[in-house]
Amino acid sequence: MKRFRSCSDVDASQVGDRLVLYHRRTRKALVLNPSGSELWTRLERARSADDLMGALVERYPSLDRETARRDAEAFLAELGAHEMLAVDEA
Amino acid sequence: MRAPIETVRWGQAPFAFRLETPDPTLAARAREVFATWPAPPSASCAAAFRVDRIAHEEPRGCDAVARDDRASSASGAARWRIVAEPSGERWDRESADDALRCVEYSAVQAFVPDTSAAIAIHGALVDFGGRGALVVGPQLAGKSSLACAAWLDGAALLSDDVALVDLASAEARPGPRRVALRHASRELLGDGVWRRILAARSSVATDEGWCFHPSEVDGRPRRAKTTLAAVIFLARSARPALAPGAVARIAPAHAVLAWLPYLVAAGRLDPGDAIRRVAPLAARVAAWDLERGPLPLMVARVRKAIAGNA
Repeated sequence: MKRFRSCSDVDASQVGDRLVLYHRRTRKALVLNPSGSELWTRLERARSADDLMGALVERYPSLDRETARRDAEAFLAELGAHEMLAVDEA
Repeated sequence: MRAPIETVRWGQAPFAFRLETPDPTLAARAREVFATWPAPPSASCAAAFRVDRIAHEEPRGCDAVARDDRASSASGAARWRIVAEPSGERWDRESADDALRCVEYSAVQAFVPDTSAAIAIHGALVDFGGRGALVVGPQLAGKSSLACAAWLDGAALLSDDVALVDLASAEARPGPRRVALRHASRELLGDGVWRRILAARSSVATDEGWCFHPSEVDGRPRRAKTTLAAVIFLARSARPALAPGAVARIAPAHAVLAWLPYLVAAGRLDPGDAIRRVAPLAARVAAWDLERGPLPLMVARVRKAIAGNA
């Protein structure tokens, strides 16, 4: 199972309820929404998409698991596209 | 006998600048132009400029600069050489007033990028009774028009180009440069105001219009600083669709990224460092998109934005 961590080249600055991510090598920036900002803090340790889905369901109890899974996968895909994740292949 | 060197100091906290010249006419004119920005007592010198009159290299009778050049006319035709210290960078200008404008411009460029206390931002700064709005946007977005319309509506026009913002207190001070307006602004300001601009003591013609001290035109006292209450973005590329003259609040995190291109030191600062420095300010000062529309409506929106209820 793939596990994801925040890339060590990325700086995160908290601004209000959002994080601004800046990749020092690619020099690209990305703003995360509040729930994405919460997920990012969990990526200090390697997490699977299931872990993130669980975190979303825990944070938003009315969210169904299928929607939470799609959101978690979309979040990881977006970060991956910006090279802001390190991936561990189990 | 060598002429004594005269020194003129000016600045804007936390920066100070120094001009040295052996020419008494230029020194007098510099004192007149820079009197608006007395040097902060404890500030260290961020940039120094030496200005000398040099031999005129153009044929006599050549009237290359057809403009109101009071200092030059007073001291005879000359070219002027400006040397920045300690960089050694130098510029030649046709007239004393051009030389002073060059010094004015270069001093603002020298705003030190690595100070942790303040940051210089390109934009027009207007003050409404102690609460300020900084209008930023790309060239020709209408910053000067909006700032002038606010001025006509009773706001103090502090700067049309650069503001220095204290990162801890959000206090904004105008960059020490005169306001420069294009001839097209005459229609907006009206002939009466335009005539007062032309007649003001420190006014000087430029290739595109006039630069001047607004306080010499309206005669109203100015605050040296204003508390920044709103940043108004014109023509931000990522703005939502808005009706003419409408505003929309920008989330502080997005405002951080919107500010970056307008930092005077944008090209010299590491973007990551810039984000970290601007972040607390963006969290504290509300940012708004303002869509172009009728100027009175835009000014009304700015007033509401600084009151926090746009």
